[in-house]
Amino acid sequence: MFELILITSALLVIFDKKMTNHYFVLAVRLLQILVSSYCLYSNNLGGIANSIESETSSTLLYLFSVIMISYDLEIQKYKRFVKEGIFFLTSVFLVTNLLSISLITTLLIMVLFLYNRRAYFIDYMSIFLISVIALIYFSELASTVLTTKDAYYLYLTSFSEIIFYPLILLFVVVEIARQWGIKRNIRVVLVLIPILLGYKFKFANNVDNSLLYFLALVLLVAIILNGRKVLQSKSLRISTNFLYSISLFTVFTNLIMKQYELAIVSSLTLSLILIIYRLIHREFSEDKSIKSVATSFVLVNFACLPVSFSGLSSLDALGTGVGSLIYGFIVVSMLISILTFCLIIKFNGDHLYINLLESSNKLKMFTVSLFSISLVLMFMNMSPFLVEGKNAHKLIQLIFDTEVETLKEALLGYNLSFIIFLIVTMVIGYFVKVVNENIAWRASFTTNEFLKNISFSKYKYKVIKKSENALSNTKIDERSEIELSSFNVSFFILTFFLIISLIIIEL
Amino acid sequence: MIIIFLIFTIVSLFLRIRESDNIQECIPFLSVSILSWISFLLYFYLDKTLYMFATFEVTSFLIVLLLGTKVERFYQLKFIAFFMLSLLYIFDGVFKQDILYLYVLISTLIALVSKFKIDAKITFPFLLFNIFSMMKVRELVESSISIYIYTIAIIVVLILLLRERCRSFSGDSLFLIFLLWTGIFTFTLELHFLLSAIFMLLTVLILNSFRVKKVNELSDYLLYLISIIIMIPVSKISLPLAIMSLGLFSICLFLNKKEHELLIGVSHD
Repeated sequence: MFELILITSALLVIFDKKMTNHYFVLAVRLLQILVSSYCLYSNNLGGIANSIESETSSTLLYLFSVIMISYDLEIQKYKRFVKEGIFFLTSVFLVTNLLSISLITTLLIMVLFLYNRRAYFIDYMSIFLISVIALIYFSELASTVLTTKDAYYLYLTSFSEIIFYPLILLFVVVEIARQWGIKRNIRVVLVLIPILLGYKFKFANNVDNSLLYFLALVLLVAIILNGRKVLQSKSLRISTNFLYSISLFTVFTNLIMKQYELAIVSSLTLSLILIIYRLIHREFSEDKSIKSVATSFVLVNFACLPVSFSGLSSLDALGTGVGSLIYGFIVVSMLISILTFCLIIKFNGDHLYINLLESSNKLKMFTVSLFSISLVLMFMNMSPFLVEGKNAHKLIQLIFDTEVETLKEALLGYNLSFIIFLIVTMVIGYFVKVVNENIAWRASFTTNEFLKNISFSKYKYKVIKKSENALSNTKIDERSEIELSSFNVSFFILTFFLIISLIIIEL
Repeated sequence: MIIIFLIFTIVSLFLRIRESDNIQECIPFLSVSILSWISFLLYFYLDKTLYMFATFEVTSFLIVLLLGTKVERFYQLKFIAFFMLSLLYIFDGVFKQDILYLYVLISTLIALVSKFKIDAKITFPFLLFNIFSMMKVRELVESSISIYIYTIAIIVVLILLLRERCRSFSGDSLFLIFLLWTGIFTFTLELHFLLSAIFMLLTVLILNSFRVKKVNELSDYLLYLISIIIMIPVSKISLPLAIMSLGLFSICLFLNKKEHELLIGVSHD
């Protein structure tokens, strides 16, 4: 399989300047992906693939991620050899079973990206982190005997034992935090590969939780600091990126809670949504109404609304009974996400508004299909708290070939948090609707100045502490209630609140 | 390993011939390559250490005396090296390995420092010859003080980098290349690592001496990758030192890229 990829990629590089048709490259790429995934599926691999011990179980994972990554690369203006190199390295990374090869490929991919991207200091921090990870791993490997599947966990010094897995997670944090700025876009490769690296090294995760909590705090602070840019520019692109990074925070908490499959699948789904959005924006760059439909699709799916994909996944993360600190972090991130969503709708509502009933058939079809896509994504990722084990996390069951157990015990906590979440969403939405735009702008301006002037860490710490206190109070109340609730009750309450809010708006 | 050297010789010949219009200009370059290959083959057929040593000395003297400039510096350094070897006799073989190690270090310095008058690109085959000889000597020399010397060298290089405000992180900088060479010589690396490190080091040298367009920017990243490989055995001695030097190197990479962007313009995305 790699022979095919290598030969065709080399041909593409050589004939790059002579090819005038853009679709020819895409066709070759599709052929490469299809043939190599067929080879993986039928376990009919070549010499190179066998020499790196390729794995056969997750053909679907390979297919999904490679398609998304290669589309994401093709729309860039990188040089041809860089694109082909990254494609080859990612396919090696996805297929291989050896930890050492996956580390080396990660390192090389990061270096190739360094060569192409605008220089920011955080990029070099990430390359430093991955090189230190490689350093520790290979120095261990040189001193210990290789066992089957590289599953060594014998550390040279106690220091490297403490430092190793947190470094991988810190690498994930830095990668998520450096994804976007005013002048750069999110690259799917750089989101997926660190999370997959964390999955591959999952047996090394035997560290104390408090370190991991600290990492989550770092990521949350980084995200909140990025939120300043949303306040400054109010543009749709930046706010979608911001919402995406908040959804990635939930993915990161999944990673901390050792639910690696869930983290991978939800990051895949998020990237799929992003790719669909980009595809529509590129193909229909003339048609404004279709673009605004796509934008609202992506906003609804990324924001932590009670009906959206990322909202449900954050609720799922809340329901799994994590420590109170992580609970607080997730709640803060959800609140920020809802607030951002409401503010975006307030600022850009006129741009996004479309009269669907009087529009063309094409637009109607687009809307219906996007709506059904988001419904399908939601049902493929239903949490086991809502449905039976057979239907829960359908995508994980498909990709990783595992089974999810039916849960009955933690139902109460999940439903209560669902209800509180609904109420909070209503309240914030109503609050943002009522508040005058000038006041909102002034508030955002002053907070921006405030963030600029005062040292960040103290301020953030206070905010988090406050929300944490509030949460711990409410949690005690929840648990003292009687076991009555279920998903139906929460649904009734949702409709009840909808009616009440309608009445308020009408008044 | 010999295949890597063969590949690099062919590539360098190709680049040299493509560069000049007249084939006669390339004759010194060709003759140096051929001389170095003759000595490679002699290394294989001569078993005794003394003969190998003689081959190395004769070839390097021939090349430098025929084509080199600043011969007096070459003589000075050679004198120090031979003085080291004479210590071997004085101490009656007590510090044999340590003295040989120092001798190899001085020979590396000679190879890096020497320059050629007719054609500046002769540096590359001369360095190739020296690296190959070093790989041969690797099997013979095993010194216990080498690790300490190397640790001191890393610290010195870090201080030098800081003094020059991290600007000299490139294939041109003498002390960095010297550090990497001695790193390959000092530690017993695993075979794959050794081969890839030599491959990348030779690539950096060829990029530096021939100034190939487009790819020339990559040499910084290659240097960084080699330094990761060298730091793997260093991390067994002290992990903090290895991590610290990698951190400084990545800062250097950042500053180099920033400077490059100021000169040429920003890259995509």
